[in-house]
Amino acid sequence: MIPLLAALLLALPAGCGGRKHRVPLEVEVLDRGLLVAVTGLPDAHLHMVLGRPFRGRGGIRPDMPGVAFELLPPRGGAPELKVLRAGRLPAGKRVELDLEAERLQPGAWVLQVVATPEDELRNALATSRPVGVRVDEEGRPELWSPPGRTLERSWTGLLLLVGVLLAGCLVARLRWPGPLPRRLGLGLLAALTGGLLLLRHLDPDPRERVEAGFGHPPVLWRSDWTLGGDGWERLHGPGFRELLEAALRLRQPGQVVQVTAPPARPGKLAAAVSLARLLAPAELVLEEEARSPGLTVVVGDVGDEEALARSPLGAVVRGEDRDR
Amino acid sequence: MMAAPGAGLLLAATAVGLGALVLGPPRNGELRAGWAGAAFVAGAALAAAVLNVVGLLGPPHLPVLLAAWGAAAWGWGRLLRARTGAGPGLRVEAACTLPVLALSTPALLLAVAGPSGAYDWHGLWWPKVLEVARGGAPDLTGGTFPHMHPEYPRGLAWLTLLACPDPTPGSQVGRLVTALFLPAAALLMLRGGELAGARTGGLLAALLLLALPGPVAQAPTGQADVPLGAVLLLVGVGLTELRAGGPQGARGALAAAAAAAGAAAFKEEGLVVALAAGLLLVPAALKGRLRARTALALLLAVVGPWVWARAGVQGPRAAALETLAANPGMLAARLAELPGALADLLVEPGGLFLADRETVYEPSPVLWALMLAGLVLLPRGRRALVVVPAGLLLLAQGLAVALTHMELGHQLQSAGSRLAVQTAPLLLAAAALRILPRGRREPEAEGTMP
Repeated sequence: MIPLLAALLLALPAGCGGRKHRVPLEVEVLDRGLLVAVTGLPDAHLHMVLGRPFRGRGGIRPDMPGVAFELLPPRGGAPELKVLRAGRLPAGKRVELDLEAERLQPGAWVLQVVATPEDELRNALATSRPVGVRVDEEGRPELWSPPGRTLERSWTGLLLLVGVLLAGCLVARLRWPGPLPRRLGLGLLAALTGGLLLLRHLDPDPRERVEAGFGHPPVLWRSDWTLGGDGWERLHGPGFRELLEAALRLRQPGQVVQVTAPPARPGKLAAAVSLARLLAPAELVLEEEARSPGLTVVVGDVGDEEALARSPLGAVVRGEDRDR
Repeated sequence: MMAAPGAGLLLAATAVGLGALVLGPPRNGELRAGWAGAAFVAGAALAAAVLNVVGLLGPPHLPVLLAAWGAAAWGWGRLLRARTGAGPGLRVEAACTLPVLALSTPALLLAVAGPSGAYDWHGLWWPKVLEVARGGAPDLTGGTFPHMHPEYPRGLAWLTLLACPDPTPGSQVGRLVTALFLPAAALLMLRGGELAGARTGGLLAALLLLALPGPVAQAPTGQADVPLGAVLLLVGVGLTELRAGGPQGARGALAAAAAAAGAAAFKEEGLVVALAAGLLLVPAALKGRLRARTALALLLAVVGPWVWARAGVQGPRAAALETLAANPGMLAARLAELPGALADLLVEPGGLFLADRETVYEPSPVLWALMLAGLVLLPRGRRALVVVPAGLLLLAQGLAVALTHMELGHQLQSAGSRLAVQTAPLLLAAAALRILPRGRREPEAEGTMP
């Protein structure tokens, strides 16, 4: 049985000024749900439930083991995650939650209620339509909902282009006699292809973005893009490969490796996620300190602790060897 | 890094060898490059589909791989002994092939030199590679970190192992596997154009596909959308050939069946493609056409066991549907949101680039306009490509997007980008071939296998 949630925003202080706002929210959960608030992401709108190894973030542990949240980064912005409050809500519960707007950085934030099916923790995407408040640049709270972007974008040129294309298609449909349709079609396709290639040639994305699948690749391979080197280290910084190979070397067959990283540093976090995936089966713990015994890959500074291997990115240690 | 090209070559040779068994040798006058693209896609799809089902029994992977390589060698042997007749000439081959290969180099080199692959590769597909390499029956229900969606098929995992039986963590092989499907799909578009009597149109459509940033960027990330797009295109081309009848139609039926089975082995939504192909093969089979019956039987035999195994596992999508079905208010609210969310998508400025500059999870209105023009607006010519499977895929995916409880705007963006990559090869080819009336005769005579 998958939970259902509904969130109801009852009241927002109207016409408030200054930065001192309290935003009372009443949330009704029709089935089990998890309440999460996230700050600092101007266009944040979605969480995903990931998997068992995630134990929480920002020092807050949801009381549902194995559940955590990955926020999709907003357009162009670096993820900056901060869970304000998270807790599991029983079905039928109506909860009032006061959020102090002055705790939030200027910009926007999102409160989201996430339905989390108890028996579908494994991989289920269990998000809902976000309901919450947004704090504007002046600190005023306002009802937040997924923004309609229609009027916020510069789209006249795009519509014009689409219109021209569709008009071309319709002209071709007229089945004019002679070679005209063929010429029109050829010209249309050639112009579109050439235009796209030209745009890509003039304005390709940096290699890091293209390699990750998030950018516009160049038309042809660029002469300054070397074929050698290590792409992992281009992505995560020097020491990644060294750390990975050390963990692979030190791991016993079938042993579950723990990977830890400080949750407040997205760069380290990304490296830890990649390491955990490459070292599967692995457990990812988003905390400063490794807590369980066994082989642990620490992404970040390990200080003077005794390490089995070190690299500029972190170290491999044994949990029981660590002095707490 | 140097091992990856060798692995890619091994997979290409294996796939083309298997594809030769499906397609037969090139016909007289047929563009060899187009045949090679079709053979790669057909062979890879067949291997993925068959091994995905064989894998349900949990055999050790090495004997299975040896059997696949053996079958490919047999295909190569038959191909090399076949009387294939003359091609269109070196000049034509070069004029069609070199631009395609040149524009594919960024994807191929990124696969070899790039770092990581995408989120989906590490979360979805790499764990399946490890699982298949370990041997034993796949666990469609469990899954430990980072194995997301363990209920998804293992076709890509088997192809990765066919390229390299012992890939290491972080191996670039998986990304090269998916990257190879991009030039293969473009070459297959040449075959589609040739089939429709518009070789130039096929070439232009292929170049347009490679000019789009989305497919080129996504192909080397290890995600399954480009492979799915390639097999969807082969389904359309094969079903179009089936319409022509004769030996060409027979091979088209087999190619469509192999490709449709491969679609089901690559991704969940590939089952829709398999269903569409099966439905379109039924009329020919009922008319008593032996190859159509054989193709239908192949499709059922290869896809059926996977459907049976998969049906026992409830995925999150079914769970979401269950939730929505039980809550009509939420469903109504979601459907009411749909027009606005679609309108938002249509005016994304990223459409000028056919992908947003910040994320690939963006739709591409220009691309969609072109493809939908091919699907809906343009008149259906006698030789137009069959696009029904793409239409059904779009319909099914659209419903799936609308009837989940993820945030609708994001879901539409994500699905729009994914669907564009999946359907672009077939729909772009269809649109191009409808814009361009036929101007060249297609090849006539058949080559023969000994």
